[in-house]
Amino acid sequence: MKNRENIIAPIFGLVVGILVSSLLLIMWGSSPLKAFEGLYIGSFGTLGAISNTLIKAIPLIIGGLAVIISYKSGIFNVGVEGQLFFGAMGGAVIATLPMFQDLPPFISIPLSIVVAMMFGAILGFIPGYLKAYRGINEVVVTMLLNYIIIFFLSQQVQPGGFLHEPGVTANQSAYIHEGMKLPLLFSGVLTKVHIGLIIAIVLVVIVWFVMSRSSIGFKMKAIGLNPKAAQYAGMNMNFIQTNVMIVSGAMAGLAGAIELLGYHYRLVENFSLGIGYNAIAVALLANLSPIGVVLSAIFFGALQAGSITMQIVADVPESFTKLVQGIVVFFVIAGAVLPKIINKKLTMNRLAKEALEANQLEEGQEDA
Amino acid sequence: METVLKVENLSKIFPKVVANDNVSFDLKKGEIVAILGENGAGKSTLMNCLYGIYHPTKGDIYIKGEKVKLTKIEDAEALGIGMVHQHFMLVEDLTVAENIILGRKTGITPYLDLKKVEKAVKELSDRYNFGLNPKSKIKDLSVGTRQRVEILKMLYRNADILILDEATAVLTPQETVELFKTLKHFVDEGKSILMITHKLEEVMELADRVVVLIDGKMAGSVNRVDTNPRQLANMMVGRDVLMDFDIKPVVHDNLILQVKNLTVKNNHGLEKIKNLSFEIKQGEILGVAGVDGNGQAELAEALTGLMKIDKGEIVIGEKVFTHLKPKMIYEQGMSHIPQDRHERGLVLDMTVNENLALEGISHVPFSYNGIIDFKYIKSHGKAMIKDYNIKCYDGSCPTKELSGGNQQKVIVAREIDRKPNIIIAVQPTRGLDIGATEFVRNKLLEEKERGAAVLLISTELEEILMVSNRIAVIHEGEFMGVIDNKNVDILELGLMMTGMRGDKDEK
Ligand SMILES: Nc1ncnc2c1ncn2[C@@H]1O[C@H](COP(=O)(O)OP(=O)(O)OP(=O)(O)O)[C@@H](O)[C@H]1O
Ligand SMILES: [Mg+2]
Repeated sequence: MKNRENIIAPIFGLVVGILVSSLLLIMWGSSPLKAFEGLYIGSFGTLGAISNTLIKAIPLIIGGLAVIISYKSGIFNVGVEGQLFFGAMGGAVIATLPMFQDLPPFISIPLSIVVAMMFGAILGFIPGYLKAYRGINEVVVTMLLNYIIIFFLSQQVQPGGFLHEPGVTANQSAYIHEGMKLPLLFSGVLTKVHIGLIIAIVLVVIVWFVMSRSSIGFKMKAIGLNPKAAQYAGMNMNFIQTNVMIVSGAMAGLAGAIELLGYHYRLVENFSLGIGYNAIAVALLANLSPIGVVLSAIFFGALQAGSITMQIVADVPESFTKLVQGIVVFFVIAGAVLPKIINKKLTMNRLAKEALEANQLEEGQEDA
Repeated sequence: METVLKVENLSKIFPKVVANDNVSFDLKKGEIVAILGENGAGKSTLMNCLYGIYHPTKGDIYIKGEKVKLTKIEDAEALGIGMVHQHFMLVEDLTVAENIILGRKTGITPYLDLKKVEKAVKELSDRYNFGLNPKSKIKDLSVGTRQRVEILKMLYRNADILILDEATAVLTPQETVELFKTLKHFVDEGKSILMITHKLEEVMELADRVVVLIDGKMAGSVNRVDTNPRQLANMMVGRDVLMDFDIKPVVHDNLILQVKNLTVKNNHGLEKIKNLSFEIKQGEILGVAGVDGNGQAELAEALTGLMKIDKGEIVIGEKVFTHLKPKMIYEQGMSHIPQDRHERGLVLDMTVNENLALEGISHVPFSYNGIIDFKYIKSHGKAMIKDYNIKCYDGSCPTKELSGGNQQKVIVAREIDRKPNIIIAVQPTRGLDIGATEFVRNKLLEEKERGAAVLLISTELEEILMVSNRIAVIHEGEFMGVIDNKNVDILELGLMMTGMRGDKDEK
């Protein structure tokens, strides 16, 4: 019953969001039917579209998981964005610098991913440690680190930066080495969906298992819900929180490596901008459920993948597609909350009635 | 006498629980009515219905003759109803005056005239001898003072029907005396009071009438003059509660817990425990009596690894510790019933089963190699709920939905059931009904007879006298003396609590 509620609610929000943006589209003078048809075609209409949607969803799934584990443990990791960027830089060291170009791909790909995760982990460790052992607010630290890292990356791909592609004026890194692209799934039939999807799904299962079946997940939840009681019960809160942030950062770094090796193939300024922030919305929309993250990431992925087709089909400017995206996301998230309240009231009443009946039954038996 | 409040056939039904079932009673002007009932009988729920927090599923409420529908707290307050909750509702980082004005306006404009509030608070406080400083932060105040803030909050909002939910549970006897004086004063002024308490002496001292609830239903209403504590207990529990314990002498010689020259400083650098030494033998209960705020909390926290030890050492069995962590405590077989069940004892958003597994979760049989054994957690929860008489529909009930006393039972069950070597119990029976109180005291005695060393810290002298082998009196972080329970002189204990050193300091 709870699961049903979790699915019906966002769909309700989706419908309202579509209606509201339709109104805007009509006011703009274009046809909402066409616009949403375009959105649909661009996200699910063809195999290629589905592939685009999934490719967009992959880093959101992993980033969403990174948000979930930290949030559940009482730390709000707003730094997935920076950790992802930093991870991608780490991955790029192996994947684009000439000194590693002779490594065989079966070594260089995992190595690049591992280095990316380490970079992400370091960036997660800093706010984790500061929060756990120094009591410094993690939101502030992760936000600031985001800025630093985004500018740091943009500087390093400019001429003179250590990742800059020699001999070009564009702000970009070299293309990744021969053979380092992530293998494609279904031998390329679904065009560009790569092995990152499998990695993401495996991670979903692992996170789900840890959070719901393991004692460490239990402790993380207890710490998130009542840190004082958790500590009193012997849980090593500082240690656990620091490590959760390391893992969360490593996951974000992994997402960065996957973006690099599976999609962009080189670093550029504003590489994958916004994934880390969207991951927060993805996680919240999924109600912090690891399984739900898959659905909510696909939803976000579809909005992004379909926006270009929408632009062309409905003849609206790009900013308008962004606006429609925003409206839909807003209502889906708001909708996820609203019917829950209504639904709760309804179930409350129903259960209350049941309890009353059961009680009367009991009384009747007592009397008899 | 004018009837100021009347409840008719009120029922409150939560999903899966009938908390109040056809309750009817009334309250007259200038009257004190006590609501009595076991843990989970529905007392707090009933009061919350009168205060607009819960909405009755069925039934009517009349205030000063008019039928009313209370949809929110403001409705109740507008009608002159005020309530002090079982668990205080104050914002720790705000001042007294700020808490009192919280959510209210000082005038028609949104501008907050804090000066005006502070002045009014000061006046009210002086009028009732509360001795409150409107500018002090809540977090710096003792429990008794916090409660006076709650009461003042009601007065500031012109309440004349006062609801007190277990107001004395957290108070020291001295503070209780003060509170009662104030309450009598209120009644003389024509206010009316509804009070919930588990202490029958208080009912006998204060109440005009007593309403007894059993399982959410009215079991009866009697005038104070027509009843006695024994009858009341019988009405509630259906049997006599004797509170007559047999304190067996200590038969072992080995020391389980030794505290040597312990000094503990709080985070302002003040010495809260000063060079304190004592020991507890296997199978012994050492009671620590004293006025609240004399280092009891710090002593318990230092022993359980929650506060840093500045000087001295703690010897558990043979092992010497100069610093402790909660995890080490668990591994040394030490149990701790903390003073504040919401802050330290429970994760309210987790289920009863999960809270019962909170400490054991990384250990067999709760988990194997880090994988939780849910089947065990469930059966363990079921057994605890039965053994400790925890009232809930089953172990998957969120702990926050339990009544206050039943929450306390969850902690007691978790801490006592794992057969600890040492039990640090701070106010273990706070908020428990008389039946449960008797049960827990018996449990402590059983544990001691099994061989546990028990440190019982309580501001209730009566409780300490009932079960301890030896009694220490703590004052400003030092023991004024340690006396064998057999040769106790109450007067002497009382003097020691005020800081007089006992002449004999026996072992
Ligand atoms: N918010 C809630 N949701 C569901 N059940 C609740 C809720 N609040 C209370 N209950 C249930 O209603 C019953 C009565 O609880 P209540 O808190 O009124 O008891 P009480 O008489 O105040 O007990 P105590 O002496 O322990 O404080 C209990 O079984 C409790 O579990
Ligand atoms: Mg209660």
